[in-house]
Amino acid sequence: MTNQKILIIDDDPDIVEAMRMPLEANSYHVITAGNGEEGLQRAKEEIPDLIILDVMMETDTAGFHVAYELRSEEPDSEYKDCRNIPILMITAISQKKGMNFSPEKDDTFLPVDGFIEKPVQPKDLLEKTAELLAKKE
Amino acid sequence: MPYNTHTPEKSSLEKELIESLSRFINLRWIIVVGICITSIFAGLVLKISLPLTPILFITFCILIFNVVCIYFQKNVKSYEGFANLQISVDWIALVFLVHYTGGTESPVIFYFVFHVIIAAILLSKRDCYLQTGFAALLIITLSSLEYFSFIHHVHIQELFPIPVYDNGLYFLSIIFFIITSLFISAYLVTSVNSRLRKRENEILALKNDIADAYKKLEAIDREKSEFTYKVTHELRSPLSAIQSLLKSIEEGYAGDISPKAMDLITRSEKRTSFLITLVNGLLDLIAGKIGKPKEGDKKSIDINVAVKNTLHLMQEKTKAKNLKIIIKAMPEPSYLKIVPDDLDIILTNLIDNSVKYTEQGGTISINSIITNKEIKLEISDTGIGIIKDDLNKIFNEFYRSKNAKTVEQRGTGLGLSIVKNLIKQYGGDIDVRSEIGKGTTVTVSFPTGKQNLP
Repeated sequence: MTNQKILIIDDDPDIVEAMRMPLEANSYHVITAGNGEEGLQRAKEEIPDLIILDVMMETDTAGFHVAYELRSEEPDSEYKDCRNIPILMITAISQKKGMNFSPEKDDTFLPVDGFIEKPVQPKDLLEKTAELLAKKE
Repeated sequence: MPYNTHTPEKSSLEKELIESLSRFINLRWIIVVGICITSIFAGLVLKISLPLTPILFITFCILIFNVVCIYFQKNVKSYEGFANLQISVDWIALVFLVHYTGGTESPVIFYFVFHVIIAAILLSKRDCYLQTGFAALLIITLSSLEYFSFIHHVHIQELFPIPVYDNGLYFLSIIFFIITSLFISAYLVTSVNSRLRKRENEILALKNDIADAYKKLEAIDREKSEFTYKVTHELRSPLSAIQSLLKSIEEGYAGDISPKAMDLITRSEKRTSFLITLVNGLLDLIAGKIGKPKEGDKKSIDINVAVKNTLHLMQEKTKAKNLKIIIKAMPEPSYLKIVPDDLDIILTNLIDNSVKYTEQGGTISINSIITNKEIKLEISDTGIGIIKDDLNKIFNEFYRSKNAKTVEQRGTGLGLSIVKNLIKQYGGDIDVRSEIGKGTTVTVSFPTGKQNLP
């Protein structure tokens, strides 16, 4: 495993910690941001290989806003270098299968590449992380 | 929940007036026929010397008036005015009839009393007394004109050999008693009537009060549910964090720990997991109760596809138990307009119950029946069944049947109440039949068409 850089944007330090442990144990380099704004800033500065993004932060949908900013199609977008970074979204909204959420089924889907549910299961997290990073390469 | 929109007091009284008016219009037909038969019988059979032509002419006028009344009945602006007009016209017709049947001597004069009663029923107290006054005036005018010979007195020889007008005192006493009896009748009927009206108003007011109180209670209940929803929601984040941390320790990412510590961590993790399930269940339940789904979220979903998707997601469990799954679906798709998450919750809960409470090697059959009225889904299993006494309790929040506890020690007892609340929101129904040791059949039905939209 290379030392790929993962940015976790989540306002819950305990969830961040719970994710950091398995990720670091698998030799990922983890950086964190405690809110949406800081997250955008760090994404721009660090250009990580993957962003793990919580939906509910300052507001119930703050994460959506971050995702839209990062994926903005505007030619002079501040975050144009971040456009191709895969985003894994953490959600507690769709507790079950995410019938509403899955990109294949919904035409108004979010510009993210994968979902993971809270509470975070380390196995699930590692699998999704590896999958998204592999897809990127 | 629908509650009666109470009609305002005024229009309910008006409605009653309209009904009474049409009843009295019908009564007028009978009176017309009655006068014709009586006068012709009196004149031709009893050979009483009645002036038939004017009497029949008056009757004809009443008949024409009634036709006019029926014609204008539907476009009347003030029904009270309409009632007043009808009674006044009736008095005038009656006074002419009295005149042609012998004036003060005429037995027809008694009929004034009936009209007083009608006036008391139809009109306000004031109007009734005014009408009675008008009637008294008509009687006094007629009898005075006849008494002083301003108009001709029709003397019916056969009934009254000696004209009343010959005896002034007797004539006056007749007039006195007729007029007083009119007013006494007016007084009696209006007082009974006003008491009835008062009581009716009280009932109406009470009805409004109850409706208001119900609305208030509903609002309070909703507020409470929303509060509970918020509180429960707040519990979810810390619980998620605890569970995620415990899981990380359990899976060894925090380094090695003693077997005893690992056992404790595992136990804590399990209890936290249960709490999360409970919180999610509560959120589903309250969301169902306060009607969370929004119009925009509804989609047409083929119920057969939804069933297959749910089963697909459960295949690990069904395979582990070696369950036989039989799906009997109609070939054509059956679309249900529903919020996908709601259908998901319903199907997952029901099928999961069947899987949970059916022993190794059992059968679960899912049958969808579509009629033009409803979409019905039958989920049958060959599971442990439900005790008869428990059948009506299993939809209660937090209730778990004794039988269920033997299979799974811990459960929230919320699944079926969540399902029932959701189904009710779509105007649907759920029914459970079960035989202990043989199996359970749950039937869910949704009305098709617009009524299934919450």
